[in-house]
Amino acid sequence: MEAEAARYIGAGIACLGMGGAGIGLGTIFGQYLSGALRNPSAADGQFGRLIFGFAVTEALGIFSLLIALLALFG
Amino acid sequence: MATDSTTVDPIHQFAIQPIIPIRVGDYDLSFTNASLFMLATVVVASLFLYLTTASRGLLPSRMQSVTEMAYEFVASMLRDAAGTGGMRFFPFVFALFVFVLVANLLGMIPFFFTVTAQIIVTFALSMMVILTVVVYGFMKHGFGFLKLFVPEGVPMILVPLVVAIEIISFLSRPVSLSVRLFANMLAGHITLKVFAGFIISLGSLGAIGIASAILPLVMVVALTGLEFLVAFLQAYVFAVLTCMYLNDALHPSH
Amino acid sequence: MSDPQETAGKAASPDRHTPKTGEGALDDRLARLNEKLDAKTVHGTVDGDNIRGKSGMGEALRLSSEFVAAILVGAGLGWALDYAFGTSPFGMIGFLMLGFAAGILNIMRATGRVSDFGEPVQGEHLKSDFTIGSDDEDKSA
Repeated sequence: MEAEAARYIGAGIACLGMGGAGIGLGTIFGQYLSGALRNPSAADGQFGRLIFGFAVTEALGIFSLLIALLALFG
Repeated sequence: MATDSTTVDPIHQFAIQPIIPIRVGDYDLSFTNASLFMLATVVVASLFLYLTTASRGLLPSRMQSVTEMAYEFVASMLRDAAGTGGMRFFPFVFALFVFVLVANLLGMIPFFFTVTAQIIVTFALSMMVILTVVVYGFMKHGFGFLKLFVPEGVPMILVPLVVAIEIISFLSRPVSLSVRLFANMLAGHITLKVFAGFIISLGSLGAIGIASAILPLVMVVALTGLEFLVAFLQAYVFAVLTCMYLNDALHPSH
Repeated sequence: MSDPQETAGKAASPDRHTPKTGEGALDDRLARLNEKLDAKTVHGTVDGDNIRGKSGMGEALRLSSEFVAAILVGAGLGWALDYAFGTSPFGMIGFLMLGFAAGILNIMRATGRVSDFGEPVQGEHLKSDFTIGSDDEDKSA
């Protein structure tokens, strides 16, 4: 196999990690929404934690995006 | 079944075709359909604004009050976001708003070209906004404009990090501003075209096909209404964000 | 009952809270607070409030485009620095992380948590931020 082809395949595989981050984000926002619907008055106060959870989860997705970008352009 | 003749290519409507080919050296400066519709946008907007206010009635006629409403709308938006000092940018913001709005609405007419679904057009518009902000900010505040990037109350150790983040956040503004308008218009028109394509391919199936083609037809009618809403909303969002960015140029340190 | 009135005031209907007769001082203060709140929310999330009523799709597209744009700019800057100085993986790594942080900042700004450029990044205490935080110069006039 050529090295060029292996690079593209590797970048594609690295992007799979973002799927996991996507699942995690779906869980976070879904749980936030169900909690907010049960107790709407507490929802505003927890928005900061929602963003925090979003940031931490998405950071892991960004790591795999980073690996993919490095494989492509690095 | 006829797959070749009845399928529509949803991307084809965005292709740029030269109408009057012009070549200067290595550059292709042809007068294309995009140029034609940008020209048409400007002509339609200027003619509308001129003709409706030509009578200058103290008691506005119906069309004159449309123009006055647009004026008041943009003026209050700018005043809310950037204060009364921001009114010196009113011609700029009003021109941007009217251009984007008329371009979006012209694109809704069948067989017309949508100028704002070209990323280079929207990117040029948003670069114009950001360059105005940067140039005016430096002209008015000198290097004090750079205070925009240094939030108050941040520990000295963190300042380089925060400044880097703020600069990237600032640089991402023209990108998100242009991509938002472009993506909304592109996605809307592709969706319309795809559903319209369903009508044709279902209609070629015979009686049952024609009966079930009513469903996508209803969808297309509803989507057209939605697209008119999006056309207005995106012009509004573009103008509002322009006002907010101009506010940064006027008052960099909060 | 103070609850429904309060929520109505918060739900961006600026002409609802005209002070009633009696208890003038408290009503005055309430009206002023509501004015400030309105000014702040209009200032921070101008289009956010208006879009949220009309289409959540528009809001979602706006937030995701803000986020992705910052990451793309960060990656682009990192790549350009690597290209210019030959520091191959590190510029991309560092600036992609910074771009990610800027994306989060953009989202918080777009949702009105951090109201503007030049203020400390602190979310959470939304209401106290809005009342105590530095007021604008020419908007109160």
